[in-house]
Amino acid sequence: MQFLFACRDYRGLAGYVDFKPDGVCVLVGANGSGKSTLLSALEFLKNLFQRTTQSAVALDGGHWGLVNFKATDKPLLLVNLADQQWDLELSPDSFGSYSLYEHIRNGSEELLDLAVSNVSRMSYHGTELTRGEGSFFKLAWDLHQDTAIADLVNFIQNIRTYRHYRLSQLRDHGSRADSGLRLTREGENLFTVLRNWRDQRAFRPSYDFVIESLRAAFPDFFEDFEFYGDAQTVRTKVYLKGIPEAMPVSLIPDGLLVAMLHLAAIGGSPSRSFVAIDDFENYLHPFAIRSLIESIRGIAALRDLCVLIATHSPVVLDEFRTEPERVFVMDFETPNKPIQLNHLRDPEWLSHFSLGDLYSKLEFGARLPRAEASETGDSTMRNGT
Amino acid sequence: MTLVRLIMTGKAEFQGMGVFLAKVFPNVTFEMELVDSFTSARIQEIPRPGSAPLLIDKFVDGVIAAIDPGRKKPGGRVPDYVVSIDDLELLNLDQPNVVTNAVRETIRRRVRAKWPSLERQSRCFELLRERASFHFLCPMLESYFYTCPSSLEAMDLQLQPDLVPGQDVEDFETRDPSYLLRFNALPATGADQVLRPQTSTWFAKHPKEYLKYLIGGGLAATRIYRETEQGAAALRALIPANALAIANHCRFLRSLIHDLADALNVSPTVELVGESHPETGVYSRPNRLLRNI
Repeated sequence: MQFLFACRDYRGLAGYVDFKPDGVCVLVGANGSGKSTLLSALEFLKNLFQRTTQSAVALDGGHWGLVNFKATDKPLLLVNLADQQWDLELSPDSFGSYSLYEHIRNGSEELLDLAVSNVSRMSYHGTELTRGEGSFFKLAWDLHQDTAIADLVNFIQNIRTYRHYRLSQLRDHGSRADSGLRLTREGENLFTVLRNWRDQRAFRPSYDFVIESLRAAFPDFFEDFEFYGDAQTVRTKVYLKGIPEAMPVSLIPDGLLVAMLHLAAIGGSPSRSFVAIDDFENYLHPFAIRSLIESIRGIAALRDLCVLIATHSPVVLDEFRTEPERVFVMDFETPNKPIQLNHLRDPEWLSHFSLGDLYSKLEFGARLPRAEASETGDSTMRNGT
Repeated sequence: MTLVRLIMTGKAEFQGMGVFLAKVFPNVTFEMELVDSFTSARIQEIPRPGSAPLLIDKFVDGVIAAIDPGRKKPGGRVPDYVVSIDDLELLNLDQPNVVTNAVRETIRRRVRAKWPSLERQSRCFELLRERASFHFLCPMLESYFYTCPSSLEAMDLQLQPDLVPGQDVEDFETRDPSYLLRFNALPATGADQVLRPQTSTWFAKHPKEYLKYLIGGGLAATRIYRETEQGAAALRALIPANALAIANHCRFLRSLIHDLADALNVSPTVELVGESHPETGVYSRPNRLLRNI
């Protein structure tokens, strides 16, 4: 599945940024290049649809810096899925909040045009909409359930970005018991979600995906897990190969727990949805990384998912050696960020190298001191420097 | 017991090639090493080495180190023989000689770069000529699975293969209309034009893509092909006699078996009727840098 996402002057992303990920992709770039901000922008877009504007801004980290400090225009967010498009500008008002200026399109048909300011009422398919504290798009969807935009709404509602898992909370306190079936952004409901999948027939394939992928990623080590706890809490014990006693989760390796979280993040994604994972490689051995990517590619193909992996890992990059078009680079050489690697470097030239080696040697996605870059004429780190 | 180190580029090979070859040479111990493939690129003009090592350099460095010094652990054993194997891939199907030439040139360059002393270089060249070889899986490992019902069974295919009758699997081609129909309309775009000309011909000649289709059960796949699972299982289940049953087929694979038998002076459990491939099955080439190339 492919979609277009664009933003303008959102937080650290100066100017216009757009990209069209397709299938399982990676996002690389130097620290501070905007990888995490790009993922935040997608999460922000979802929150602007689902919540009030104030609440979405608060969840996004608040008012400070929401508009890029070098901005010359209003911040813009845009998503387009198979010609269904929602774009919105955010305009700060004098009370420290924001107004949204939205367009909804299906192909060339303009379904909603709010290019003028101070609009509080709008007609949509003959119905008068009155602006509340959220988007007109959500209001229109709630009233009409218009099939012309249903795919886009479904896509936006299912955007998930994962980073900074709460490992210590999971280890020390388990997960709060509820009926959740989707991993939360920081993964604190992991055990609850897995237990619920196990107990519901419709979600059993997702549970099996996690178990089988863990066995492949940790051969001769991981066997199975079981759940226990009380009315308020779900905890897990892990069975390791050759050890009859289950090990409490507080003692299992961080890598195994992180792999469970990655797999639960993706295993819970419905068809034709988008998931992003930041700092994918943390705690993981290269073998586990390769195996997890193989598993993720499999389920992404079956469910037509788009998965974006933000990483600095040469091991992850090498798994995309024959797919440079699926490597997106937040590069400083070009104003078009993120740029597909096959547009940044000749694909035939790339095919003679390990992408991980090239990234390690600062051939792309690197921020070099200005003096060095101008002296050498390019951004390649030379031998011995 | 004779120790052979296999330097391979695929995950399935890494997990299964030792088991497969042990069926042919039961008294030989095989140890595995996984390196990156360098044949996913069309081997024409290879870029001049810059800051990052070329894939072919890394591959060749692995072969050199496996024989000189050879031991991996302090006090460990040096392998008696080293076999390096890479896929020929569709991109190089018409030019195995160009690939072997590139390997030769790279060996020459890397050995010279590694040791400044001519005497030391000659010693390394001599070791390589005597105790190392290079082979192809053609165009890739998955081709050979189609020769053997037990390999196909190990992968639990949802559909049965339909290949061009009588054609060598090293020149793999399917005629499956339902599989090929999908790709007639696919435009090749961007990087695909250079690296993966995804036309129906390309798909027809691609044994792994066809396996994915057969395992998935059609165009809307319900199962996936994992090299580390189905691929490794199929290789472990591959019966050597099946793969080598037709005398003038699978000549690259026959080269590999013949080379091991000849170099180790052991008899294989399978009868080697038919010719090896001239590109990797001749041991008397005057400019050879490895035993067979």
